Amino acid sequence: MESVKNAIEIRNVTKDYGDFKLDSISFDVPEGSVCGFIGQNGAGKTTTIKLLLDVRAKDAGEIYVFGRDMSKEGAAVREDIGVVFDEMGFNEYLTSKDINIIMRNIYKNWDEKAFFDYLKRFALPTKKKCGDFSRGMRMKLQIAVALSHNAKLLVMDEPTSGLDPIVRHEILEIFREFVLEEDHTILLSTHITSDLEQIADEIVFINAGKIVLKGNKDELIENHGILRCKKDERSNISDSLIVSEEDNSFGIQLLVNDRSACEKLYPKCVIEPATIEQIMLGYVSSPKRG
Amino acid sequence: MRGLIIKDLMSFRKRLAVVVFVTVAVLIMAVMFSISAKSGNLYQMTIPGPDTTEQEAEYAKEVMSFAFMVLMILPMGAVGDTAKNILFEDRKSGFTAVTSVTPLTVRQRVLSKIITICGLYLAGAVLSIVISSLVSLFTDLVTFRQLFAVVIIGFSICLIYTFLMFDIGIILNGSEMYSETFALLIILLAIFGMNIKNIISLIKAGDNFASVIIEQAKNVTAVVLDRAYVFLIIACVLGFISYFVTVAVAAKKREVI
Repeated sequence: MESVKNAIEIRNVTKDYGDFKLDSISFDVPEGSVCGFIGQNGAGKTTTIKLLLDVRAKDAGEIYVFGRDMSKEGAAVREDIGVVFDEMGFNEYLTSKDINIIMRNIYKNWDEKAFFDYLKRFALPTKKKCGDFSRGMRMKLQIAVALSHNAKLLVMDEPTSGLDPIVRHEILEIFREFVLEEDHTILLSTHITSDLEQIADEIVFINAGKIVLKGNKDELIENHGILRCKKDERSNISDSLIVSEEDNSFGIQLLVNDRSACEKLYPKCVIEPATIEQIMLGYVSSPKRG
Repeated sequence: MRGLIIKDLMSFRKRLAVVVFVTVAVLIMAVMFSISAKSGNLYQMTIPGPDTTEQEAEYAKEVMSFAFMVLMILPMGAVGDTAKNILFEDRKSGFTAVTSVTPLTVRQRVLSKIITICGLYLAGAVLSIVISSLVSLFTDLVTFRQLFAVVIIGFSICLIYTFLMFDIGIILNGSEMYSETFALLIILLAIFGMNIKNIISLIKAGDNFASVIIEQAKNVTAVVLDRAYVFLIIACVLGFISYFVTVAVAAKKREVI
Protein backbone atom coordinates (compact mmCIF):
# COMPACT_ATOMS: atom_id res chain seq x y z
CA MET A 1 0.00 0.00 0.00
CA GLU A 2 1.29 3.44 -0.93
CA SER A 3 2.06 5.58 2.11
CA VAL A 4 0.34 8.93 2.51
CA LYS A 5 2.53 11.86 1.50
CA ASN A 6 2.38 14.82 3.80
CA ALA A 7 2.33 18.37 2.47
CA ILE A 8 3.10 19.68 5.95
CA GLU A 9 4.99 17.99 8.76
CA ILE A 10 5.39 19.83 12.04
CA ARG A 11 7.50 18.06 14.65
CA ASN A 12 7.83 19.17 18.29
CA VAL A 13 7.84 22.84 17.43
CA THR A 14 8.26 25.20 20.33
CA LYS A 15 8.15 28.96 20.50
CA ASP A 16 8.32 30.78 23.80
CA TYR A 17 7.26 34.44 23.99
CA GLY A 18 7.40 34.58 27.76
CA ASP A 19 3.70 35.29 28.21
CA PHE A 20 2.72 32.66 25.65
CA LYS A 21 4.30 29.38 24.68
CA LEU A 22 3.68 27.16 21.72
CA ASP A 23 4.44 23.94 23.49
CA SER A 24 6.10 21.25 21.39
CA ILE A 25 3.34 20.93 18.84
CA SER A 26 3.30 18.23 16.19
CA PHE A 27 0.90 17.47 13.37
CA ASP A 28 0.85 16.49 9.71
CA VAL A 29 -1.33 17.61 6.85
CA PRO A 30 -1.66 14.96 4.14
CA GLU A 31 -1.21 16.07 0.55
CA GLY A 32 -4.50 16.67 -1.23
CA SER A 33 -6.47 17.37 1.92
CA VAL A 34 -8.14 20.37 3.52
CA CYS A 35 -6.99 20.73 7.08
CA GLY A 36 -8.99 22.91 9.42
CA PHE A 37 -6.80 24.50 12.05
CA ILE A 38 -9.11 25.55 14.83
CA GLY A 39 -8.81 27.17 18.19
CA GLN A 40 -10.00 30.22 20.02
CA ASN A 41 -8.38 33.63 19.61
CA GLY A 42 -4.89 33.63 21.10
CA ALA A 43 -4.60 29.84 21.04
CA GLY A 44 -1.51 29.94 18.81
CA LYS A 45 -2.95 29.51 15.30
CA THR A 46 -1.30 32.56 13.76
CA THR A 47 2.00 31.84 15.53
CA THR A 48 1.97 28.29 14.16
CA ILE A 49 1.27 29.57 10.66
CA LYS A 50 4.09 32.10 10.87
CA LEU A 51 6.49 29.42 12.09
CA LEU A 52 5.31 27.11 9.35
CA LEU A 53 6.08 29.73 6.72
CA ASP A 54 9.42 30.51 8.38
CA VAL A 55 8.29 34.09 8.84
CA ARG A 56 9.14 33.73 12.52
CA ALA A 57 12.03 31.71 13.91
CA LYS A 58 11.13 28.70 16.04
CA ASP A 59 12.94 27.90 19.28
CA ALA A 60 12.97 24.15 18.68
CA GLY A 61 11.51 21.48 16.43
CA GLU A 62 11.33 20.79 12.73
CA ILE A 63 9.01 21.95 9.98
CA TYR A 64 8.85 20.35 6.56
CA VAL A 65 6.72 21.46 3.65
CA PHE A 66 6.65 19.08 0.68
CA GLY A 67 9.45 17.24 2.48
CA ARG A 68 11.74 20.30 2.46
CA ASP A 69 13.12 21.84 5.62
CA MET A 70 11.58 25.30 5.95
CA SER A 71 14.42 26.69 8.06
CA LYS A 72 16.87 25.92 5.24
CA GLU A 73 14.78 26.24 2.10
CA GLY A 74 11.94 28.47 3.28
CA ALA A 75 12.26 31.13 0.58
CA ALA A 76 12.33 28.60 -2.26
CA VAL A 77 9.46 26.54 -0.84
CA ARG A 78 7.30 29.67 -0.50
CA GLU A 79 7.20 29.78 -4.31
CA ASP A 80 4.71 26.89 -4.01
CA ILE A 81 2.70 28.34 -1.14
CA GLY A 82 -0.19 30.76 -1.45
CA VAL A 83 -0.93 32.68 1.73
CA VAL A 84 -4.06 34.56 2.73
CA PHE A 85 -4.13 36.62 5.90
CA ASP A 86 -7.16 38.00 7.70
CA GLU A 87 -6.07 41.52 6.69
CA MET A 88 -5.06 42.61 3.19
CA GLY A 89 -1.46 43.80 3.28
CA PHE A 90 -1.33 45.66 0.00
CA ASN A 91 -0.72 49.39 0.13
CA GLU A 92 -3.99 51.20 -0.33
CA TYR A 93 -2.88 53.16 -3.39
CA LEU A 94 -2.21 49.99 -5.41
CA THR A 95 -4.68 48.79 -8.02
CA SER A 96 -5.15 45.16 -9.05
CA LYS A 97 -3.18 45.96 -12.22
CA ASP A 98 -0.30 47.26 -10.10
CA ILE A 99 -0.40 44.13 -7.96
CA ASN A 100 -0.14 42.01 -11.10
CA ILE A 101 2.98 43.93 -12.17
CA ILE A 102 4.55 43.56 -8.71
CA MET A 103 3.75 39.87 -8.34
CA ARG A 104 4.91 38.85 -11.81
CA ASN A 105 8.28 40.26 -10.82
CA ILE A 106 8.32 38.33 -7.54
CA TYR A 107 6.94 34.87 -8.37
CA LYS A 108 8.64 32.79 -11.06
CA ASN A 109 5.41 30.95 -11.77
CA TRP A 110 3.11 33.96 -11.80
CA ASP A 111 0.18 33.32 -14.10
CA GLU A 112 -1.09 36.68 -15.31
CA LYS A 113 -3.99 35.15 -17.19
CA ALA A 114 -5.14 33.21 -14.15
CA PHE A 115 -4.93 36.36 -12.02
CA PHE A 116 -7.10 38.42 -14.37
CA ASP A 117 -9.50 35.49 -14.74
CA TYR A 118 -9.91 35.41 -10.97
CA LEU A 119 -10.40 39.18 -10.87
CA LYS A 120 -13.12 38.82 -13.49
CA ARG A 121 -14.70 35.95 -11.67
CA PHE A 122 -14.67 37.84 -8.36
CA ALA A 123 -15.94 40.99 -10.13
CA LEU A 124 -12.95 42.94 -8.84
CA PRO A 125 -12.13 46.17 -10.69
CA THR A 126 -8.62 46.38 -12.13
CA LYS A 127 -8.18 50.14 -11.98
CA LYS A 128 -9.70 50.92 -8.59
CA LYS A 129 -7.34 51.43 -5.65
CA CYS A 130 -7.54 48.43 -3.34
CA GLY A 131 -7.82 50.79 -0.37
CA ASP A 132 -11.34 51.54 -1.62
CA PHE A 133 -12.28 47.85 -1.68
CA SER A 134 -14.77 46.36 0.79
CA ARG A 135 -13.55 43.68 3.20
CA GLY A 136 -14.97 40.94 0.97
CA MET A 137 -13.24 42.38 -2.08
CA ARG A 138 -9.94 42.62 -0.20
CA MET A 139 -10.14 38.96 0.79
CA LYS A 140 -10.97 37.98 -2.77
CA LEU A 141 -8.01 39.97 -4.05
CA GLN A 142 -5.69 38.16 -1.63
CA ILE A 143 -7.14 34.82 -2.69
CA ALA A 144 -6.69 35.74 -6.37
CA VAL A 145 -3.01 36.51 -5.66
CA ALA A 146 -2.56 33.31 -3.65
CA LEU A 147 -4.06 31.21 -6.44
CA SER A 148 -2.25 32.85 -9.35
CA HIS A 149 1.29 31.56 -8.93
CA ASN A 150 0.52 27.86 -9.26
CA ALA A 151 0.75 27.26 -5.53
CA LYS A 152 0.32 23.68 -4.37
CA LEU A 153 -0.40 24.65 -0.78
CA LEU A 154 -2.78 27.32 0.42
CA VAL A 155 -2.23 28.56 3.95
CA MET A 156 -4.98 30.80 5.21
CA ASP A 157 -5.38 32.60 8.47
CA GLU A 158 -9.01 33.43 9.17
CA PRO A 159 -9.84 34.15 5.52
CA THR A 160 -13.60 34.11 6.01
CA SER A 161 -13.94 36.00 9.28
CA GLY A 162 -16.08 39.11 9.04
CA LEU A 163 -17.45 38.15 5.64
CA ASP A 164 -21.12 37.83 4.80
CA PRO A 165 -22.47 34.30 4.16
CA ILE A 166 -22.72 34.78 0.40
CA VAL A 167 -19.08 35.84 0.01
CA ARG A 168 -18.01 33.09 2.42
CA HIS A 169 -19.87 30.51 0.37
CA GLU A 170 -18.25 31.83 -2.80
CA ILE A 171 -14.79 31.64 -1.26
CA LEU A 172 -15.34 28.12 0.06
CA GLU A 173 -16.38 27.12 -3.43
CA ILE A 174 -13.03 28.37 -4.76
CA PHE A 175 -11.21 26.33 -2.11
CA ARG A 176 -13.16 23.24 -3.14
CA GLU A 177 -12.10 23.76 -6.75
CA PHE A 178 -8.50 24.23 -5.67
CA VAL A 179 -8.32 20.87 -3.93
CA LEU A 180 -9.79 19.06 -6.92
CA GLU A 181 -6.19 18.79 -8.10
CA GLU A 182 -4.91 15.85 -6.12
CA ASP A 183 -1.59 17.43 -5.09
CA HIS A 184 -3.25 20.61 -3.83
CA THR A 185 -3.52 21.07 -0.08
CA ILE A 186 -5.16 23.66 2.16
CA LEU A 187 -4.40 24.60 5.73
CA LEU A 188 -7.28 26.74 6.87
CA SER A 189 -7.10 28.45 10.21
CA THR A 190 -10.47 29.60 11.41
CA HIS A 191 -12.83 29.75 14.31
CA ILE A 192 -15.85 29.56 12.04
CA THR A 193 -16.38 25.86 12.44
CA SER A 194 -19.33 25.69 10.06
CA ASP A 195 -16.91 26.42 7.20
CA LEU A 196 -14.84 23.43 8.20
CA GLU A 197 -17.86 21.16 8.38
CA GLN A 198 -18.38 21.97 4.73
CA ILE A 199 -14.88 21.51 3.36
CA ALA A 200 -12.36 20.08 5.85
CA ASP A 201 -10.98 16.56 5.68
CA GLU A 202 -8.69 16.87 8.69
CA ILE A 203 -8.98 18.87 11.90
CA VAL A 204 -6.19 20.09 14.13
CA PHE A 205 -7.37 21.74 17.30
CA ILE A 206 -5.02 23.95 19.26
CA ASN A 207 -5.68 25.39 22.69
CA ALA A 208 -3.35 27.51 24.82
CA GLY A 209 -0.35 26.61 22.65
CA LYS A 210 -0.96 22.86 22.72
CA ILE A 211 -2.51 20.53 20.19
CA VAL A 212 -5.45 18.98 22.01
CA LEU A 213 -7.06 17.10 19.18
CA LYS A 214 -6.16 16.09 15.65
CA GLY A 215 -7.45 13.66 13.11
CA ASN A 216 -9.89 12.97 10.34
CA LYS A 217 -12.90 15.27 10.61
CA ASP A 218 -15.49 12.59 9.93
CA GLU A 219 -13.89 10.30 12.48
CA LEU A 220 -13.84 13.05 15.09
CA ILE A 221 -17.49 13.81 14.50
CA GLU A 222 -18.29 10.09 14.44
CA ASN A 223 -16.46 9.43 17.70
CA HIS A 224 -17.67 12.39 19.70
CA GLY A 225 -21.21 12.78 20.88
CA ILE A 226 -23.46 14.83 23.09
CA LEU A 227 -24.95 12.69 25.82
CA ARG A 228 -27.89 14.05 27.78
CA CYS A 229 -28.90 12.49 31.08
CA LYS A 230 -30.49 13.29 34.40
CA LYS A 231 -28.29 14.52 37.21
CA ASP A 232 -28.68 11.33 39.20
CA GLU A 233 -27.58 9.26 36.17
CA ARG A 234 -24.25 11.12 35.87
CA SER A 235 -22.46 8.95 38.43
CA ASN A 236 -23.12 5.85 36.27
CA ILE A 237 -21.15 7.26 33.36
CA SER A 238 -17.45 6.47 33.16
CA ASP A 239 -15.21 9.54 33.58
CA SER A 240 -12.83 8.28 30.91
CA LEU A 241 -15.52 8.81 28.28
CA ILE A 242 -16.32 12.36 29.29
CA VAL A 243 -14.55 15.34 27.77
CA SER A 244 -16.67 18.03 29.39
CA GLU A 245 -19.99 18.49 31.07
CA GLU A 246 -22.55 21.21 31.40
CA ASP A 247 -25.45 21.48 33.82
CA ASN A 248 -28.74 22.86 32.62
CA SER A 249 -32.30 22.98 33.91
CA PHE A 250 -33.17 19.68 32.22
CA GLY A 251 -30.21 17.73 33.51
CA ILE A 252 -26.64 17.27 32.37
CA GLN A 253 -25.14 17.53 28.90
CA LEU A 254 -21.87 15.69 28.37
CA LEU A 255 -19.41 15.74 25.49
CA VAL A 256 -18.21 12.14 25.17
CA ASN A 257 -15.25 10.89 23.20
CA ASP A 258 -16.61 7.48 22.22
CA ARG A 259 -20.17 7.75 21.00
CA SER A 260 -20.60 4.09 20.00
CA ALA A 261 -19.31 2.88 23.38
CA CYS A 262 -21.72 5.21 25.16
CA GLU A 263 -24.63 4.02 23.04
CA LYS A 264 -23.87 0.44 24.08
CA LEU A 265 -23.16 1.19 27.73
CA TYR A 266 -25.97 3.68 28.35
CA PRO A 267 -28.83 2.77 26.03
CA LYS A 268 -31.33 4.80 28.05
CA CYS A 269 -29.43 8.06 27.56
CA VAL A 270 -29.98 10.33 24.57
CA ILE A 271 -26.79 10.55 22.51
CA GLU A 272 -26.49 12.80 19.47
CA PRO A 273 -23.59 13.44 17.10
CA ALA A 274 -21.51 16.45 18.13
CA THR A 275 -20.69 19.31 15.80
CA ILE A 276 -17.11 20.59 15.44
CA GLU A 277 -18.14 23.65 17.41
CA GLN A 278 -19.45 21.55 20.28
CA ILE A 279 -16.28 19.46 20.25
CA MET A 280 -14.14 22.60 20.28
CA LEU A 281 -16.16 24.17 23.09
CA GLY A 282 -16.01 20.93 25.05
CA TYR A 283 -12.22 20.78 24.92
CA VAL A 284 -11.80 24.48 25.63
CA SER A 285 -14.23 24.63 28.56
CA SER A 286 -12.98 23.86 32.03
CA PRO A 287 -12.20 20.20 32.73
CA LYS A 288 -15.06 17.90 33.51
CA ARG A 289 -16.69 18.46 36.82
CA GLY A 290 -17.80 15.42 38.73
CA MET B 1 13.38 41.71 -5.82
CA ARG B 2 12.49 43.71 -8.91
CA GLY B 3 8.85 43.44 -7.87
CA LEU B 4 9.54 45.17 -4.56
CA ILE B 5 11.48 47.97 -6.23
CA ILE B 6 8.61 48.47 -8.66
CA LYS B 7 6.15 48.53 -5.77
CA ASP B 8 8.17 51.18 -3.94
CA LEU B 9 8.48 53.25 -7.09
CA MET B 10 4.70 53.04 -7.44
CA SER B 11 4.40 54.79 -4.10
CA PHE B 12 6.30 57.66 -5.72
CA ARG B 13 3.42 58.19 -8.16
CA LYS B 14 1.25 59.77 -5.50
CA ARG B 15 3.97 62.36 -4.83
CA LEU B 16 4.59 63.14 -8.49
CA ALA B 17 2.37 66.23 -8.45
CA VAL B 18 4.26 67.60 -5.43
CA VAL B 19 7.62 66.98 -7.11
CA VAL B 20 6.51 68.70 -10.31
CA PHE B 21 5.11 71.62 -8.30
CA VAL B 22 8.30 72.01 -6.22
CA THR B 23 10.54 71.72 -9.28
CA VAL B 24 8.62 74.34 -11.28
CA ALA B 25 8.37 76.61 -8.23
CA VAL B 26 12.11 76.32 -7.55
CA LEU B 27 12.92 77.03 -11.18
CA ILE B 28 10.71 80.12 -11.27
CA MET B 29 11.96 81.36 -7.88
CA ALA B 30 15.58 80.80 -8.84
CA VAL B 31 15.22 82.69 -12.14
CA MET B 32 13.40 85.58 -10.41
CA PHE B 33 16.00 85.51 -7.65
CA SER B 34 18.90 85.69 -10.08
CA ILE B 35 17.28 88.44 -12.19
CA SER B 36 16.60 90.45 -9.04
CA ALA B 37 20.17 89.83 -7.81
CA LYS B 38 21.52 91.04 -11.16
CA SER B 39 19.48 94.17 -11.61
CA GLY B 40 16.54 94.34 -9.20
CA ASN B 41 15.86 94.99 -5.52
CA LEU B 42 18.29 92.31 -4.34
CA TYR B 43 21.00 93.92 -6.44
CA GLN B 44 20.41 97.22 -4.62
CA MET B 45 21.13 95.49 -1.32
CA THR B 46 24.56 94.40 -2.54
CA ILE B 47 25.71 97.93 -3.42
CA PRO B 48 27.29 100.01 -0.64
CA GLY B 49 25.42 103.30 -0.26
CA PRO B 50 24.22 105.86 2.28
CA ASP B 51 22.18 103.20 4.18
CA THR B 52 24.39 100.21 3.50
CA THR B 53 27.98 99.78 4.57
CA GLU B 54 30.44 97.83 2.43
CA GLN B 55 30.46 95.01 4.96
CA GLU B 56 26.65 94.82 5.01
CA ALA B 57 26.60 94.66 1.23
CA GLU B 58 29.11 91.83 1.37
CA TYR B 59 26.97 89.98 3.94
CA ALA B 60 23.89 90.42 1.76
CA LYS B 61 25.74 88.75 -1.13
CA GLU B 62 26.78 85.86 1.10
CA VAL B 63 23.27 85.35 2.47
CA MET B 64 21.84 85.42 -1.04
CA SER B 65 24.29 82.80 -2.27
CA PHE B 66 23.41 80.54 0.72
CA ALA B 67 19.72 80.95 -0.02
CA PHE B 68 20.36 80.15 -3.65
CA MET B 69 22.22 76.98 -2.78
CA VAL B 70 19.51 75.80 -0.39
CA LEU B 71 16.91 76.40 -3.09
CA MET B 72 18.71 73.98 -5.38
CA ILE B 73 18.32 70.98 -3.10
CA LEU B 74 14.56 71.39 -2.66
CA PRO B 75 13.59 69.32 -5.74
CA MET B 76 15.78 66.49 -4.47
CA GLY B 77 14.11 66.75 -1.06
CA ALA B 78 10.69 66.47 -2.70
CA VAL B 79 11.68 63.26 -4.52
CA GLY B 80 13.50 61.90 -1.48
CA ASP B 81 10.50 62.33 0.79
CA THR B 82 9.16 59.09 -0.73
CA ALA B 83 12.47 57.33 -0.09
CA LYS B 84 12.56 58.01 3.61
CA ASN B 85 9.08 56.60 4.10
CA ILE B 86 9.28 53.36 2.15
CA LEU B 87 10.08 51.17 5.14
CA PHE B 88 7.40 52.59 7.40
CA GLU B 89 4.76 52.73 4.70
CA ASP B 90 5.02 48.95 4.29
CA ARG B 91 4.70 48.41 8.01
CA LYS B 92 1.62 50.61 8.23
CA SER B 93 -0.12 48.90 5.32
CA GLY B 94 0.95 45.38 6.32
CA PHE B 95 2.92 44.86 3.11
CA THR B 96 5.79 43.58 5.26
CA ALA B 97 3.59 40.57 6.04
CA VAL B 98 2.93 40.07 2.33
CA THR B 99 6.61 40.15 1.35
CA SER B 100 7.60 37.88 4.22
CA VAL B 101 5.57 35.04 2.70
CA THR B 102 6.90 35.49 -0.83
CA PRO B 103 9.94 33.59 -2.14
CA LEU B 104 12.13 36.64 -1.47
CA THR B 105 14.92 36.25 1.06
CA VAL B 106 15.62 38.81 3.77
CA ARG B 107 18.78 39.79 1.86
CA GLN B 108 16.76 40.54 -1.27
CA ARG B 109 14.16 42.50 0.68
CA VAL B 110 16.79 44.71 2.36
CA LEU B 111 18.71 45.19 -0.87
CA SER B 112 15.55 46.21 -2.73
CA LYS B 113 14.88 48.93 -0.15
CA ILE B 114 18.44 50.25 -0.30
CA ILE B 115 18.40 50.27 -4.12
CA THR B 116 15.08 52.13 -4.09
CA ILE B 117 16.31 54.68 -1.54
CA CYS B 118 19.49 55.34 -3.53
CA GLY B 119 17.59 55.38 -6.82
CA LEU B 120 15.01 57.90 -5.66
CA TYR B 121 17.59 60.25 -4.17
CA LEU B 122 19.73 59.89 -7.28
CA ALA B 123 16.75 60.84 -9.44
CA GLY B 124 16.19 63.84 -7.17
CA ALA B 125 19.86 64.78 -7.37
CA VAL B 126 19.82 64.60 -11.18
CA LEU B 127 16.74 66.85 -11.16
CA SER B 128 18.50 69.32 -8.86
CA ILE B 129 21.65 69.27 -11.02
CA VAL B 130 19.63 69.94 -14.20
CA ILE B 131 17.93 72.90 -12.51
CA SER B 132 21.29 74.11 -11.14
CA SER B 133 22.85 74.01 -14.58
CA LEU B 134 19.95 76.02 -16.03
CA VAL B 135 19.88 78.51 -13.20
CA SER B 136 23.66 79.02 -13.13
CA LEU B 137 23.34 80.59 -16.59
CA PHE B 138 21.37 83.48 -15.07
CA THR B 139 23.43 84.31 -11.99
CA ASP B 140 26.85 85.40 -10.81
CA LEU B 141 26.04 84.70 -7.16
CA VAL B 142 27.15 81.08 -7.37
CA THR B 143 28.93 78.97 -9.96
CA PHE B 144 27.62 75.69 -11.36
CA ARG B 145 30.52 73.93 -9.64
CA GLN B 146 29.36 75.25 -6.28
CA LEU B 147 25.75 74.29 -6.97
CA PHE B 148 26.87 70.84 -8.08
CA ALA B 149 28.81 70.42 -4.83
CA VAL B 150 25.76 71.55 -2.83
CA VAL B 151 23.59 68.94 -4.57
CA ILE B 152 26.18 66.22 -3.90
CA ILE B 153 26.33 67.21 -0.24
CA GLY B 154 22.52 67.37 -0.01
CA PHE B 155 22.28 63.97 -1.70
CA SER B 156 24.83 62.47 0.70
CA ILE B 157 23.22 63.94 3.83
CA CYS B 158 19.77 62.77 2.71
CA LEU B 159 21.19 59.27 2.17
CA ILE B 160 22.93 59.28 5.55
CA TYR B 161 19.72 60.46 7.23
CA THR B 162 17.60 57.83 5.48
CA PHE B 163 20.06 54.99 6.17
CA LEU B 164 20.12 55.99 9.84
CA MET B 165 16.31 56.02 9.89
CA PHE B 166 16.28 52.66 8.15
CA ASP B 167 18.74 51.16 10.65
CA ILE B 168 16.92 52.53 13.68
CA GLY B 169 13.62 51.34 12.20
CA ILE B 170 14.94 47.79 11.76
CA ILE B 171 17.41 47.33 14.59
CA LEU B 172 15.30 48.99 17.28
CA ASN B 173 12.02 48.27 15.53
CA GLY B 174 11.31 51.96 15.95
CA SER B 175 8.30 53.82 14.66
CA GLU B 176 8.59 56.39 11.88
CA MET B 177 8.57 59.35 14.27
CA TYR B 178 11.05 57.68 16.64
CA SER B 179 13.44 56.77 13.81
CA GLU B 180 13.17 60.22 12.21
CA THR B 181 13.85 61.98 15.50
CA PHE B 182 16.86 59.83 16.35
CA ALA B 183 18.35 60.05 12.86
CA LEU B 184 18.01 63.83 12.95
CA LEU B 185 19.49 63.96 16.42
CA ILE B 186 22.52 61.89 15.36
CA ILE B 187 23.14 64.16 12.35
CA LEU B 188 22.74 67.32 14.45
CA LEU B 189 25.12 65.96 17.06
CA ALA B 190 27.67 65.14 14.35
CA ILE B 191 27.39 68.67 12.90
CA PHE B 192 27.64 70.11 16.41
CA GLY B 193 30.73 67.97 17.12
CA MET B 194 32.44 69.02 13.90
CA ASN B 195 31.79 72.70 14.60
CA ILE B 196 32.47 72.83 18.31
CA LYS B 197 35.42 75.23 17.86
CA ASN B 198 33.32 77.60 15.74
CA ILE B 199 30.49 77.49 18.27
CA ILE B 200 32.86 78.40 21.12
CA SER B 201 34.30 81.33 19.16
CA LEU B 202 30.74 82.46 18.34
CA ILE B 203 29.85 82.45 22.03
CA LYS B 204 32.95 84.53 22.73
CA ALA B 205 32.25 86.92 19.82
CA GLY B 206 29.96 89.25 21.82
CA ASP B 207 29.09 92.35 19.73
CA ASN B 208 30.88 90.94 16.68
CA PHE B 209 28.47 88.00 16.54
CA ALA B 210 27.06 88.90 13.08
CA SER B 211 30.43 89.37 11.41
CA VAL B 212 31.90 86.25 13.06
CA ILE B 213 28.99 84.04 12.02
CA ILE B 214 29.11 85.29 8.42
CA GLU B 215 32.87 84.80 8.30
CA GLN B 216 32.56 81.29 9.75
CA ALA B 217 29.76 80.40 7.34
CA LYS B 218 31.95 81.56 4.44
CA ASN B 219 34.89 79.48 5.63
CA VAL B 220 32.84 76.38 6.40
CA THR B 221 31.03 76.63 3.08
CA ALA B 222 34.31 76.97 1.19
CA VAL B 223 35.82 73.96 2.96
CA VAL B 224 32.67 71.86 2.67
CA LEU B 225 32.09 72.65 -1.00
CA ASP B 226 35.65 71.68 -1.77
CA ARG B 227 35.19 68.35 -0.03
CA ALA B 228 31.73 67.29 -1.12
CA TYR B 229 33.12 63.88 -2.02
CA VAL B 230 33.84 63.18 1.67
CA PHE B 231 30.09 63.29 2.38
CA LEU B 232 29.46 60.97 -0.53
CA ILE B 233 32.05 58.50 0.76
CA ILE B 234 30.49 58.58 4.25
CA ALA B 235 27.05 57.95 2.71
CA CYS B 236 28.37 55.01 0.67
CA VAL B 237 30.13 53.45 3.66
CA LEU B 238 27.00 53.87 5.78
CA GLY B 239 24.97 52.31 2.98
CA PHE B 240 27.17 49.20 3.03
CA ILE B 241 27.08 49.00 6.83
CA SER B 242 23.30 49.48 6.75
CA TYR B 243 22.89 46.62 4.32
CA PHE B 244 24.94 44.09 6.29
CA VAL B 245 23.65 45.11 9.71
CA THR B 246 20.00 45.19 8.68
CA VAL B 247 20.26 41.85 6.87
CA ALA B 248 21.73 40.26 10.00
CA VAL B 249 19.17 41.87 12.31
CA ALA B 250 16.18 41.28 10.03
CA ALA B 251 17.13 37.62 9.56
CA LYS B 252 17.22 37.19 13.33
CA LYS B 253 14.24 39.30 14.36
CA ARG B 254 12.01 38.56 11.34
CA GLU B 255 8.91 40.47 10.32
CA VAL B 256 10.72 43.82 10.41
CA ILE B 257 11.07 44.14 6.65
